[in-house]
Amino acid sequence: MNKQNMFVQMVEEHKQDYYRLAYSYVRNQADALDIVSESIKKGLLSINKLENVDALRSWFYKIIVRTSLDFLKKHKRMTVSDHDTITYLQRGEQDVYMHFDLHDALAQLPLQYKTVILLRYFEDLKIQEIATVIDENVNTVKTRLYRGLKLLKLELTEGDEMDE
Amino acid sequence: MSNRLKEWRRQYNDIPIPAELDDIIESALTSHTQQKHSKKRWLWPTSIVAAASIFTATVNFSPQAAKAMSEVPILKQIIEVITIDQIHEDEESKSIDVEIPEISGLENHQLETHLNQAFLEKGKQLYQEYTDSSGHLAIQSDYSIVNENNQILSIELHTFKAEASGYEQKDYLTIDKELQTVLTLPSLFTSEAYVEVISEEVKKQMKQNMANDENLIYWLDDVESFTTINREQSFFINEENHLIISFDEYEVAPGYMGVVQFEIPTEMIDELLVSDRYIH
Repeated sequence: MNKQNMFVQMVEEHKQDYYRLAYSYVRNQADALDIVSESIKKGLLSINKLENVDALRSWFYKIIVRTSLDFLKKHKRMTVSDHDTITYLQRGEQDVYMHFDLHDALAQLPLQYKTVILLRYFEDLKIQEIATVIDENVNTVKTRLYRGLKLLKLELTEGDEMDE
Repeated sequence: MSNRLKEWRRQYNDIPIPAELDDIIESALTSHTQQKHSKKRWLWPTSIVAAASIFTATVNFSPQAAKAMSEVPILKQIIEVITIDQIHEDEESKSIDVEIPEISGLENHQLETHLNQAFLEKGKQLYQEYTDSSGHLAIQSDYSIVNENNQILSIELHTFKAEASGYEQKDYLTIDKELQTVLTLPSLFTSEAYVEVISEEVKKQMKQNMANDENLIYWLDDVESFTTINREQSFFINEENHLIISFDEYEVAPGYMGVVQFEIPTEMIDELLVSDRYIH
């Protein structure tokens, strides 16, 4: 099967995942649909440049993530991700259960943590794949996951590991 | 995994999927047209290589049936084209790289078998040419979907042979997915008048193109100039539902022009069409 067909097949199988991921960034149905559509078009245009087909999955996640982030930038809906926000999130235990809802919690999370958390715990990507998506090394991914989990007040229970 | 994470994963998976997603995915996936090859142009100095062997699939097709069926909604078939086989060899002075497609999902098994055999034959024939050659030959052949919608599926077979000179060829196959038939150019029209109408339109566009760009040359005012299309001229229907007429390399223009194609404005031919099912 050639690369293009593999790509088409993958998109057909996982379209709902891609939509949910895009939606988690923009929280708007129409925008999420636009992002998915644009990502597929970008993918088709550059699929021939993909050298290693084993990386197809992370390669396309990268396109989705970048398209989503570009969208947020363009529409200036970028979540504030400065020190203050982080301090705010780390404050007082009483806030914990107020952010029980996934989308509210994610909305508070700075983008660099949001991306790794979404990919690892909701899209089930491996640490190595996430490293490819965000162009960082494995250790950076682990650090961000760890901090992201802390910000979300999510403690992993014993036996759970960040990596698999 | 903590209970909260489990709860969040559940919420994540509960993100409602809008009904439009399928359509949007479908149209994005078919947005990719012939960009793959359209920019390629080869400049080869010497003689013309072997004559074209046009891939043809002759299948019965009734325009009346098409018209009658066009009002009847039919469940969409899952018709797929995959690569069934790849031939790849690389020697010191020659190489071959061929992808052989296979269609699956047609209810008309006879047609499916016929087409797949034709694809396979084409691959075998290229491989035979390759093994027979003493060297200095490169053969490349692959395929792509140039258009797919609820009704039709157009496949392009692209073959390129480089010997002392190069030869590029694009064959098209358009299938009506609902009627399970292959479209031929004559089957689209009510009479033979289309040959002349399209030929005149092609000549007009050739003149316009040459006037606009001095680098373009078609054989028009020459001894061997283009006079008329074949009644079975290679064609496909693009995403805008327009008819595209395709000529092989050397067919109507010097080799450096490669495969040349002309979009026929629908208003030129709509009175001649059997129906607006495919072209509009």
